[in-house]
Amino acid sequence: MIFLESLARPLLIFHAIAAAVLVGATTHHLLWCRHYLWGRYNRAPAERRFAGICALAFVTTFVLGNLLYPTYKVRVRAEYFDNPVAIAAEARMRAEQHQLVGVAPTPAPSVVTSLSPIARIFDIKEHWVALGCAASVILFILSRRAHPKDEPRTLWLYLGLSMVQCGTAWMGAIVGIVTASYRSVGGPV
Amino acid sequence: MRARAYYASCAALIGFAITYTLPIYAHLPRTFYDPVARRWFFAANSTPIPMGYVGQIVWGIAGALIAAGATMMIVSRRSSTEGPSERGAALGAAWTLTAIAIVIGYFTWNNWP
Repeated sequence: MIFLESLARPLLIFHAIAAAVLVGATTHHLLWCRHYLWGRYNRAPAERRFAGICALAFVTTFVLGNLLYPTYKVRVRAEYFDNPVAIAAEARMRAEQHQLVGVAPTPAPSVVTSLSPIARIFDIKEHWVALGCAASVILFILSRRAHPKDEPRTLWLYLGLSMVQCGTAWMGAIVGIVTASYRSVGGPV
Repeated sequence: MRARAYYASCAALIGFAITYTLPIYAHLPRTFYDPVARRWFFAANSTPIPMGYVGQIVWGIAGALIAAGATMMIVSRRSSTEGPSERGAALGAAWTLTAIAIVIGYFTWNNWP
């Protein structure tokens, strides 16, 4: 048995919920920070609170993702994405099911390749979110210790980290959904 | 205090970015977890299934803590409310954001399908 494999589905659901909170909170945070460019700090208390929510959501999402990672690595990546035989078998089965259902079957590709490119994009996402998580924690510290309202010279770093935080959260969410779409709505090819 | 927090934050992120990348770039040993055999081991490289990601994150956190600690010791404690200088703040922001951009670019380039 792989570590936490029996809990993979509930972990995935909590991971998705935490990621949804993360995407919403980081987008909200970045949009509120834009007012600082014009020296308007009236939303600073709420923005500071959002910096805390973002950091908590990022760390939670990151930890849950890491707990799921052993199951992904074996059951999804090794047994499916990097396994052309499994993909070919699923493509055949789907084509047969299309005919049974009576919908025009998707023509089977002449050469079934592996889904390794998807796995590699997932690898890229892992590195982006690791840096985004670190940026989120540092942004939280800056929001308490050197906020642009109190120290305007920190504004560019603050805004930059908010952009990194938001961009990496979106990247993680989109790549995560694309990865999960294989073997579901997207089919194997 | 604000200057120390600011420079330590910059150093922590730069330290994280560099030491997170270092074991991959320089093939340094790190902790791997083999999910099939359910065991941890320490190595520079491994077969595809064992996961080196956790070891890489440990490298990054260690680098961030060391860099932030060293910066806090170096930066003066003379004024408790003084912020970073204009030049220092700009350089700190530029170095930090550039380090993040380079590391993101490095991993994107090396893993691009």
